[in-house]
Amino acid sequence: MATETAVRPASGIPQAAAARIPLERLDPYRVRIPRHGGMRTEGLLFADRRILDDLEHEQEALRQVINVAHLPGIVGPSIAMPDVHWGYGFPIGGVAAFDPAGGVVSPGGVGYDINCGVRLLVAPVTAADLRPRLEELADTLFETIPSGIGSSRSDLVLDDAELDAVLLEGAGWAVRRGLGTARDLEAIEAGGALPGADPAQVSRRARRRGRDQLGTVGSGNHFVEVGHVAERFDPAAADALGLAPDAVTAFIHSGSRGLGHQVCDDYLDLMLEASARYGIELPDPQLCCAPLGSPEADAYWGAMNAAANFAFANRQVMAHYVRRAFARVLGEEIGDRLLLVYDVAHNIAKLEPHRIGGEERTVCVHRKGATRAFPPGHPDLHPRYRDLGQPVLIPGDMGRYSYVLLGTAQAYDETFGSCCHGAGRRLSRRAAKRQARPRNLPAELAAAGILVRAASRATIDEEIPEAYKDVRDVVDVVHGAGIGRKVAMLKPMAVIKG
Amino acid sequence: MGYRLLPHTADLRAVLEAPDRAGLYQAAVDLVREVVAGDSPVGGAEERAIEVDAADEQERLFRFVRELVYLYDTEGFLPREIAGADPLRVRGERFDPERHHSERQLKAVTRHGLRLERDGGGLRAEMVFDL
Repeated sequence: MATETAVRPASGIPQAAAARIPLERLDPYRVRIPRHGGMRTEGLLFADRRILDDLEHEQEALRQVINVAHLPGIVGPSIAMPDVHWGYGFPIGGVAAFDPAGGVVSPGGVGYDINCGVRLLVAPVTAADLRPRLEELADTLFETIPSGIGSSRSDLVLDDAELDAVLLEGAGWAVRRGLGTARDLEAIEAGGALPGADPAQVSRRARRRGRDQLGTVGSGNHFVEVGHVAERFDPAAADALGLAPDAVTAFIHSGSRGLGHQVCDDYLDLMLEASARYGIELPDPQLCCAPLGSPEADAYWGAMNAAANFAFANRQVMAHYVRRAFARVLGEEIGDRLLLVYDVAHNIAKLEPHRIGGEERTVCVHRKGATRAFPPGHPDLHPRYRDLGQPVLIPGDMGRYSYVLLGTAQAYDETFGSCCHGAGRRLSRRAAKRQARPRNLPAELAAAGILVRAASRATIDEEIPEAYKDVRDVVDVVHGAGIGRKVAMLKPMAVIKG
Repeated sequence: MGYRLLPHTADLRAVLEAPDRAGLYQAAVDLVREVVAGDSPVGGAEERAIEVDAADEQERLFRFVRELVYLYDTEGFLPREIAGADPLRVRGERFDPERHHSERQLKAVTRHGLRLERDGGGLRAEMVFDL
């Protein structure tokens, strides 16, 4: 077991304990952070040499992996995926499970954008068929789906009763209103509605923020992206998912919008008090939490699941408008035949049974910038996916490519059925903007055959491809480690940014 | 004096510096406005009272900034200047796409790395925003 060179302390937020972080390489894809100090368990980082080199500039992310290992009731290691980067409590790309007896739930382990996630649709047309109409489709999508800061829909403002229904029914609410099909629900994690939602735990402020934001992209790294299947690593699995060679695809990346942000904010206040009351020592206040089963945890659980259902409904409504845009540009029969490949959450906490120490136990799995990746045969998967395993959707940056993977038994055994969620940022937004300023990104991307429509120049600049790791490097690690299995690679054609 | 941005990979980290509390709150107003609307000229036709109930000065500043984020997300209210200290009041105006440009969204201000301290003769605060 070789000892890696420890990452150097970051400048920036002063750390009283900014000592060298010990790292032990276990194999080409795994690095262990041994238990030390107040850690209750070890850290497990999925990284090859290249990813680890990148993390030399990201010591805060590794320190956050260590911080999570301090929380009470943690089961198994504090896990970091290869797209890990510095967050604001939990690292982005972190997975941690907690025992219902003695463990905790932490809003910081879910994040502000509760059930931020991605969904992928596939169209019955090829990239070659679409290319002559691509500009029209990009413009139509940009017009049809509000994006950018404070984006809202005047055609879908919810009263309290309707909002309650959304918070309980999730994507099913939208399908009941004709914005999708029953088949869609089969292709969404948890059928598009998490149990345990309690709208009464969602504050008036949160409701106000979400009331007119259903069906909107938002800002930052959220997007709608039209692409095509560029490479198939497993043709049989790709065929089973409808990912034919060169087929046109549509990715949607969004979450619970202002409603979810406010739920997180509201419960962080409550959890700070709870942490003090229950005597939980916090290495970072943003990790504040409450014991599972406590009144504070129950209240958050009800609100978090409600916000997650709002996010499922949001992506369902957005998918409806994506279908309408395809219908307007390519014909009704095309719009109606956009099939949902899958929809996954990547900011969530869930109670799930897992095999731990040879026995099955229910644990509370926090995925903060990580994707569920259940294996073939898992009973929670719709029969359509039982033989395949769960689709895992890994968007990359807007200039290169994205991946579709499948969940594996290895992930179920080792990472609580979890995998990475994206490329992971490597440049700060300021550094990205500095690089982008003298360039004309839309023209550069257009020259590469990728159209971009965005609500602001700042978003394009901050989201330049170089701001992210090469998602191929990230995916190669999870594939090599066996916690995900490559099925297909998609390349972008048109990107709508917030 | 004012604010400046510090490196952070995914989100936005800022330091605020001012000789006194009024200056610090004005720096927070400038930070939020410029992050969401860049250098758009913002008038002061409207005023909002901001109720902040906090146990200490650091939490008070945090909750003030949190309210600015909330006001922008719910009303499109762009803050321009502090109009009063007790109770806290802010002048500004609502986002108008004809006159303002949108730069980016602030999802929330976090308590990660949050600090407020006396620095020499003035005040210095650090905060990280989720974008």
